[in-house]
Amino acid sequence: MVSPIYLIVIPLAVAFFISFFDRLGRGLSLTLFYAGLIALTAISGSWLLSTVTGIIGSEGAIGGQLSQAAGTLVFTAGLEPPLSIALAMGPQEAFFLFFANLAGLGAAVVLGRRMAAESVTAMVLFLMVMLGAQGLVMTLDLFNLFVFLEISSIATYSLIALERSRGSMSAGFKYIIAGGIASALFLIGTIYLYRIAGSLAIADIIAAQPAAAGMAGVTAVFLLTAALLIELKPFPANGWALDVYQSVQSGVVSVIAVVNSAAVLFALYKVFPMLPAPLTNALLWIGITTFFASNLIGLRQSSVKRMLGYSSSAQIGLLISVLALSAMYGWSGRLQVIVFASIFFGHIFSKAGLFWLTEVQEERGWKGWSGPRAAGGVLLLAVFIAALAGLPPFPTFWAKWVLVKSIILQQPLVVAMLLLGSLCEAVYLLRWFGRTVHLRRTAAASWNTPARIALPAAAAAILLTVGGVIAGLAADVEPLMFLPLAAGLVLGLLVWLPSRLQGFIAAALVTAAGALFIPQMQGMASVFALVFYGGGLLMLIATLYKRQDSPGFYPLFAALVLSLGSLIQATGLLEFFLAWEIMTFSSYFLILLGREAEKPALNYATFSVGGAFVLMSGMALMAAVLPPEIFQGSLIAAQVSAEPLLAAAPGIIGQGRDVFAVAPNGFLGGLAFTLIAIGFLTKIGAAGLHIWLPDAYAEANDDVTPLLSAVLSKAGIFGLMLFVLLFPAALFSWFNLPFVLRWVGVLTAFFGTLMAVFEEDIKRVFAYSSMGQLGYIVLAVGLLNQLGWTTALYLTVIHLLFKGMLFLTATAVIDRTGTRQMYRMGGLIKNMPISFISALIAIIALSGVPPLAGFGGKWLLYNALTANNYVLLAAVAFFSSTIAFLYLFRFIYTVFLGQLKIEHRRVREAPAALLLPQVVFILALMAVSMFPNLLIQPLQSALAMFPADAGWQNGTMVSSIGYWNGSAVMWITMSVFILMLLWLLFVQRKPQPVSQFNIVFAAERPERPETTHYGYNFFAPYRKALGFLVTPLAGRFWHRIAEVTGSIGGAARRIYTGNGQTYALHILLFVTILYFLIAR
Amino acid sequence: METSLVLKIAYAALSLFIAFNYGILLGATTYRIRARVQGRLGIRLYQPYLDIIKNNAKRTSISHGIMFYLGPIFRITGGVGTFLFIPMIYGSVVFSNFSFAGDVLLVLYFIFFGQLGMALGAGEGGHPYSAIGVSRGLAQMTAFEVPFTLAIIALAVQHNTLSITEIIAAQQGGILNWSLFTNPAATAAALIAFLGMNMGNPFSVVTAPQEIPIGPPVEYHSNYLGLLQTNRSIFNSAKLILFMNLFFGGATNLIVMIIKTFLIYMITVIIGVAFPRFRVEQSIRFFLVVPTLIGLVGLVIALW
Repeated sequence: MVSPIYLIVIPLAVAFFISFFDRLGRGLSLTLFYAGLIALTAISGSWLLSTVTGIIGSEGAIGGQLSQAAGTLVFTAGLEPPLSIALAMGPQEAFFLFFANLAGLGAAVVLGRRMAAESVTAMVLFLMVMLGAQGLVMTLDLFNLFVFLEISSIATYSLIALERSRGSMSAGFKYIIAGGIASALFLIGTIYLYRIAGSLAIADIIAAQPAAAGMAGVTAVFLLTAALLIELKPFPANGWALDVYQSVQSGVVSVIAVVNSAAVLFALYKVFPMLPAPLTNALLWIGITTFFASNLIGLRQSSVKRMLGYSSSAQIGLLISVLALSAMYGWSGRLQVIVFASIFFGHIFSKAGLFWLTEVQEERGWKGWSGPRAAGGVLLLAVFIAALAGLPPFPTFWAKWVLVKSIILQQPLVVAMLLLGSLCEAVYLLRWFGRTVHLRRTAAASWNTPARIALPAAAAAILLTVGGVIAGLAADVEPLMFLPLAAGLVLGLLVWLPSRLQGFIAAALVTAAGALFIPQMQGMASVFALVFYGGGLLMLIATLYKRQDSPGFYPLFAALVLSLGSLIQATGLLEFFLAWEIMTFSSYFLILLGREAEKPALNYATFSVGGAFVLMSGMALMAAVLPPEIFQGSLIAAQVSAEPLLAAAPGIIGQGRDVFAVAPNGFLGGLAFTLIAIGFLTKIGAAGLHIWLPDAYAEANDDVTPLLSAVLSKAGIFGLMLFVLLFPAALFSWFNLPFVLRWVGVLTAFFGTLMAVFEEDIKRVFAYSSMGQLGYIVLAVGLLNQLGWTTALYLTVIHLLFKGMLFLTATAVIDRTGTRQMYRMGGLIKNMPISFISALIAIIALSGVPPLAGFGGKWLLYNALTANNYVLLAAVAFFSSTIAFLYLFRFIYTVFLGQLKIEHRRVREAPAALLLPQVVFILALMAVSMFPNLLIQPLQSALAMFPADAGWQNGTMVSSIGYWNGSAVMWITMSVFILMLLWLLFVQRKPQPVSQFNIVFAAERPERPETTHYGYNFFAPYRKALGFLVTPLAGRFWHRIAEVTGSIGGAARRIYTGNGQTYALHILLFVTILYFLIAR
Repeated sequence: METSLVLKIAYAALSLFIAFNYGILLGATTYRIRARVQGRLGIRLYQPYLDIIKNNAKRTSISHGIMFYLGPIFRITGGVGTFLFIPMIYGSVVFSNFSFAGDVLLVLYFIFFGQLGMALGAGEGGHPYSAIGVSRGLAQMTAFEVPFTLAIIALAVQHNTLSITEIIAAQQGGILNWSLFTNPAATAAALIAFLGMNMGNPFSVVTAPQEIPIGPPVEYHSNYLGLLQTNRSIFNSAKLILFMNLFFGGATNLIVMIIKTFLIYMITVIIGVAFPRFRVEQSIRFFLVVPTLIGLVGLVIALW
């Protein structure tokens, strides 16, 4: 093992000799420079390897403060302290140093060109920064800590000043001011502590418990902490740092944001045990406030680099609060590793990666940042942003989950700030990303990613992914849950193949997964598995109609479909949430591929991420309030036997089939379930939470929307039903949640349907229609009895069939006519007869008109509602279902009937790839229409946990109040229809076919389709009568929320005046106020 | 004893025949009454028969396309089907039709079958008046379905069944057992909705003869029109029988049926000749306020 002392020696020596070698040639000095950095990384890496392998099996050792269980201590010059410098190298030190050094190495590579061009001083200063970091992490002595802090500060300042631009000079000066104040405080604190403890060794000082030694001790510790804190850029005393981030070159910033911060953070970690409780508490709040406020302000930031600066500041704040929490609750071992190490790891590599990527276009604001030209560059950007935003499989995802789960009961406010801050962060990062993707598509100004950036960035991305997967496995997630990501990755690597071939491979993957998993499932799970895999596969086949799809399309599509399957297979809450998040982000990226999808995709992401956070807090709260033995008894048992969650579900209310039926802690259990329900309802697009839906559906690519509507939207329904089964008692433990659910459902159905009536855009019509149809399903779920749930499952399946047909037809006509406005179409029946038949069958099914299967859904729903005396719900549901006629007729009439437009005379039938899935849907629909028991009976037996409330007698379904024989209805209708048709054929000699416009109206024979096709604003009188109901109140509400949030962020931003004196004042006030708060 | 399928079909054909003729005569009577109110003599009672025969015998006809051709078939299938799912005479094996196939929900939704098909056929005709008529018709329909549904739900709750036969059964044993008296509000709401359903004044804007000549079926002629006229009489009978069954105690024999349905029909006729026409948005607002409130009262009565 190489002694850790070399971590100090090497940078010193290289920095010393590099000037001499530089005289001999820049190549030599550069080689030396990189060799030095590589050596640092290698040494710290070897220590990480040995310490980690050394402690595997003895978990406790990781968490122990300054534990040298598996590490070593070295003393310089062979003397004992205080005469020498004591350095420690344990697992934590190795972890911090290795990754900080790795990031530093990456930054040096990125800065390669500059290092080659600038004077040798740059390399020296860079090495000094690295040296400072090594010392800060390893030293065990307070004064040495000060020395290394100074080395690091001065080197950083000089590095900043090397830029020689006005901005960086002033930024460097502000840095010096802040650093100066911090140093002064640190030194005074150290002096006092020495006075109290009689030693400068940190371990001795901790042992002396200075905080217990009266006010002087507290003050001393306070000063020390405040100094370190200032270096860590707490809000609002961080203006200087933001100016630095903004004005200094990205490569350098990455070192400041990553290497320096990591080292100072570790220094803070070392002194943590000497902190008095109020100070720990204060650090928690400072940290989380910094996180929240920085991210809030980040929303209003236009400069990419400053935005990333806010994000850096926020992440460090989060790490500070995690340190505080871990001290407050005595976390150790795995918990600390997963939370702290994951956030740290995720932060340094995603932030470094982002700073590196911005190096090329750093002057631009995010609105003009066109991003890398190569698809790989965009992928890197996506990885870093996803990692920073805490999406799976990246480390921060796991950390946030564990963090929230651990503290939700004790620190709900911290959780709220954490999640709100994370939401803001996700919003501004994804907004930037969306813009980049958009600009890349529209403008030619993208740039090539040079290898010096691409290589380290790719390495960072790989590290993040691998680290994330390891963290996930460490959190006991089944490897199978990574299947969607693996599939996406595999397809992503095949992106060079022809688009259609990729499609076939994706279809094969989905088929294989379906064939493998569906047979393993039973009951409800198999229904949803069929919908997800079967529907996904058919929609995937439909996408093949395009010759060329955007790069990344099929990887995302496959990941999305497989993640839906994973939802069913999840064996624990974390796994469920993992699948949920994979689904969320893959659908977000998929929507973003749409031509005009920048804003809609952002809206979708905002609501999805927000909804996911609400869901996460609900699940965490649920896990926290359930008696632990119950929670472990079932969920963990399910986890061990790898049984899906659904199989572990206990049953239903009142039957006492399982311990779950015990109400989990009254109010809190109810609150948890409410949060969970809100999370799912956001995905479903329930009224009020729906405003993302129409735009996202409309602006997603035409071959994505069918999947979103017919398949993806069912994920929320699945989640809702699953959690009702898992935690039935929580449904009533706060308030009557099912009551609210039913009303939310029926109002969603009503408003969704009504809004669909007034749309001109075909995709928006069906988007609102989907919203409405899902409303019925939510209503049915809220009934909590067998008939209700049969309805819900029945509608889930049927909606897949008819909405799949409708959206695929829409895709076909948009593809053929080149417009989405229905009134611009017309008379397409003769050109696209098969599409027309598909649309016709679909609208009959959707409207619920017998004899097709749609009526089954209506019959089941009204029977379930009326039998339980939910008369108002039934009335509103019925009203909504009649309103559906309006948009359905309007669609089929305006598009397929009426007058054909001249420019559409040559339109051909839809491509075969689009028709094939529709034919499958039609066949399935007809089969179910003819024999409803084919579908309903399996559904009923899947819902055996409920008491049976409807039965079958000779093909007639009989509920407590009504009856229905679907086959008989079909036979009668068909017979009458055929008889009448035969009659007409018999009495009517061949009718003479006439050409278009062979009509007379208003005393003239029309000649232009535009003047004859009654298509625009089709329901004008309806709008007059009921238009006031579709006033976009929810839209305005959310818009206002966004505006107010932005304004608060904007207002908070004003404290950063850019004036060094003001910043100094901020710091002093911050410290003073903090002192008074602590010393109360 | 189970009636054999063939016999059932024969019975259904018989009741269909009766309903058809009754509907035609009822229609002719209405024309005559309306004419008398306007000071004319009116048509002869057999005139509608002649119209149907004449239209079916026309030698020429045109078609705008397959959906146009099928529109009237959908329409009459809807009318006949609706009729067949409603028991005509309570307690009669012969006149129970195919009511075993489903309850009142089936009838409620099957009514849409013909309307939808007709609207589609008319749509392919390409005539703007058709589309305007359909737009108005659908818009008005959503509105009058609200009070109608409220009334039906009220009955279902009150009698704890959705089966038409059982609803009739519950009204037997005296006039005071009729829904008309047990739940007058629901009956009133349904009857107002019935006015809309029949598209007579004041809700006749759908087919507004002066403005958009007869609305949806404007392009239909000869045999198509014959089918539509046939359907009108059957569908009218079906609706009347449904209302009689739900609110007026049903009928135990044909005579009672004819008297009751005739009187119910007279309500539409009298109001039709006495009132002017609403615009579409006016009738929508009307249906969603007055009869809907009455229907809600009906619900309250039912839940009481």
